[in-house]
Amino acid sequence: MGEVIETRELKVYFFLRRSLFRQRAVKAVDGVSLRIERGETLALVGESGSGKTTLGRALLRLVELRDGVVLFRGRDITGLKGKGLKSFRRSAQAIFQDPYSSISPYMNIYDIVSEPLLIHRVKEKEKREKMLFRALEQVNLLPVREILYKYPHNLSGGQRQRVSIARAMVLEPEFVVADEPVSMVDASNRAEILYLLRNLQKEKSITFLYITHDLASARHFSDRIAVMYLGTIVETGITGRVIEEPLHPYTRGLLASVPEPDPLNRKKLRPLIPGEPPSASDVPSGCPFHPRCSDFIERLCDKARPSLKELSPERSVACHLF
Amino acid sequence: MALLEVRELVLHYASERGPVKAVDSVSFEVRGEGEALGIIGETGSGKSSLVRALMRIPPGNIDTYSGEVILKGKEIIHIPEEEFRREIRWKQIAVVFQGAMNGFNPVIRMGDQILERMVEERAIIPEKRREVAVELLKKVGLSEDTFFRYPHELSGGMKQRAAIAMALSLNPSLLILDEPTSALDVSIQAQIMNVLKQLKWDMGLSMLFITHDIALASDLCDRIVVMYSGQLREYGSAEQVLLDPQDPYTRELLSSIPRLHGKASPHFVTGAPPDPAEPPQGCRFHPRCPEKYEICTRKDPPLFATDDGHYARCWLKGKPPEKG
Repeated sequence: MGEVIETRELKVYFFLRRSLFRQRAVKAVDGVSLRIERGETLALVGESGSGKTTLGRALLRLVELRDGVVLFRGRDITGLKGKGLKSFRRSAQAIFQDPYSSISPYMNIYDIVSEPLLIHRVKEKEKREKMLFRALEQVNLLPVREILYKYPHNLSGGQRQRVSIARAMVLEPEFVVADEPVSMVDASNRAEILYLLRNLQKEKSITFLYITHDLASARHFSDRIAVMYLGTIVETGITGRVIEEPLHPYTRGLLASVPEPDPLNRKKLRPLIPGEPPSASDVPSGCPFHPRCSDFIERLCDKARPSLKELSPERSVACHLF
Repeated sequence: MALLEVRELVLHYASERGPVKAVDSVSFEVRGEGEALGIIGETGSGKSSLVRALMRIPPGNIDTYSGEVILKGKEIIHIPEEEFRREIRWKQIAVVFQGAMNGFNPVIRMGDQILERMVEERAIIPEKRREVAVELLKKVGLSEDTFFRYPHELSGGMKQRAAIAMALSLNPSLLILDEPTSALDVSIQAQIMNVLKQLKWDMGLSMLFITHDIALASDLCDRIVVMYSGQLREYGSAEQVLLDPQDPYTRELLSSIPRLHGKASPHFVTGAPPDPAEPPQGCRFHPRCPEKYEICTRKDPPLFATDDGHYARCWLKGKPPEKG
């Protein structure tokens, strides 16, 4: 198979200026090593502030890296500039969360979806239109001729998100980062968009990073899961295994917080992860999860940071219990 | 007698394209004594307009605003605004909106903000301030020192709880929650849902819980209303609606949710929810309905009773009227 994308000890820090001379690091991504194989979907799950969006942006070289490397098809892209970077970006695309702000309201669908082709100098108009039509057909915006000259405000939320998927797909990328692609879409349309992404991926063996806070959708639309907490990966594994048998106390707590439609739910309290996620500018010592952990071991968890250990092939956990 | 009875409530907005039927003759009741009724709907279903209609805070462009809302036996939609403000709003019915946590004044301490309505109503003597506020904070699981904090010192989840405490300050008999957790993470959402359950169990507080998330509604609600395109589509106990849905839309909505456990893959509904300014002819769900037949395209079905206290707006559940 071979990895399409891989990171080693990747770090992304942002700096907050506290005063003229003092600044404080926000460790949004703090030493992440992961790989995604060709044609695979890795779901990156975590709560807000866990750094999952920053990690996705780092893989696309959209933020400055503090340390570590990103490999794309085995080649180090960390230092790419100019032409090299542009050609990488042709094969790596993004789908963003909010279809109301990620596409320009002043451009019609034709212009929105063909813009990437112009940027990447697909010169012949005929070829461009062929690619444009194909992309819109792939996302079921049919009939294409009727959609082309509409503007985003004529479309529903689900249709807009399909436009932004078409824009990401028009250059036939190998790697796509989908950052919460359905969280702004109505419940009844969500599954449709996720199936669409799944089918596109299968047909073209695209490699996907699916960033989400919705564990249930990750279960159905990913091959592997990586759980992120305060800038680090705390657990990875085959999706079904992680959901059915979570190991890290954070993963267990997160899974228990998800309600499923069941009339018995209302009769009992839900098990909770106590406290609030701390800020990435003030990461606790030792294991970042220790202040909220029910299995906290004194003088171990608050002192030493656990590394991501491989328990079995395809299953790793960063916790002193293992 | 039910605590709140809503009869044929209508709220239509005026627009250039004709009336927008945001709430189109909706009837239901909240029984009281700690009952939580869930109102579930997607974008454009009219669930937020329903809150505005109940709280008498509709926007300016009203076309029709009619029907009856009866609280503890007293009609409250047609009474003078002044009387509603003085006796009902916040005192009898309080509301917590989705963005309530962003509504705090950044330069006033939380304690003073939570008590603001009590002070306004002269419902509190100055010596008792601290005691009363701490009591309110405790009800929502916030610590005593929250009293002295400023909004920026609290997380989103804590502010949303403070907003709930504030809504409880005048001891309302009904609490309306309009998507109170949708801007929050799942772990924080679970904390708030537990706070609401405690309020319901310990104080017998009745609630109207408005959400787009049917799974979340099952965490709190005893009975459930499903709305679509301004109309009530299905109405029944949580067991009836979740385990034995009678309306095709409810069934489709339930099967479209990805489940964390179990084998079923999510299934999707084609098409988008209708534009409330131009709802489809006949049954409003028919363009997306997998079970439609001829009459559905022509005539809007009424609510049919399918079981004791269980209603569905679907021709499959009742006899179509005679032609002519």
